[in-house]
Amino acid sequence: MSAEVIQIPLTTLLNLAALILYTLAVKRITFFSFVLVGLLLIDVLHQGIAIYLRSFLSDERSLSFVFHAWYISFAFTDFLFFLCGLYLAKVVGSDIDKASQFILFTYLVLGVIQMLRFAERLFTDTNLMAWLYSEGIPLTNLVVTAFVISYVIRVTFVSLRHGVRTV
Amino acid sequence: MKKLVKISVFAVIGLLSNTVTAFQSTPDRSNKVFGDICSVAPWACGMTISGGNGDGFEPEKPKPIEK
Repeated sequence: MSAEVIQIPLTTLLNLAALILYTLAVKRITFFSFVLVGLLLIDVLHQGIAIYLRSFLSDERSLSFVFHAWYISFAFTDFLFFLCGLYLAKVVGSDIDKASQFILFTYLVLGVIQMLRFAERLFTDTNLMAWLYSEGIPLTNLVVTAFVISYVIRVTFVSLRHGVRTV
Repeated sequence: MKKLVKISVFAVIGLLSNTVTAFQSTPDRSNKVFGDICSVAPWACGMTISGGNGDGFEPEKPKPIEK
């Protein structure tokens, strides 16, 4: 049972906590709320994709499928998240705040990294992007989560201070 | 409402400390930068385990089919 609990990504738990805290602090739904929900969904989706594709790794005949699907599925979902954010902002008619801009732009960059690395491995024998891929992606995950947590804590403190002033 | 926000702040701190503790036992990162970080601060390893975008893992490239 405890092993199953450890399988839950820490980033997902932290983003969920951030969403709850943010909603309680601002007491309304903003564009950033939608971005946080999207971040949660994409975290879960990526976890599912990774578990599904890793299950084929031991099968020699599926190596080609895993190789192609790995980069394409992650890049596709990253671009989809970015485009959904832009589309939602257009539909709702709201400006995209700086925090949401940062998160959406980060996922656009991650999608580009996935496609560039895929193209590099597919068409060339070079490993120029290997370091960027293996170190850059975990580091970006860490930065996005740290950014979300620090931003939400800041918003919460501002909201609390504002609440004290109005009382 | 203010009380609820305060409770949430403590809940987040609690969640952070508990989950970080839970992840301490699974530092399986093999790349250089994170390997170094893991040896200095084991709690930091948990921050990226099972992250999005495959967390930097890459599948093996299939061998070209010989004709």
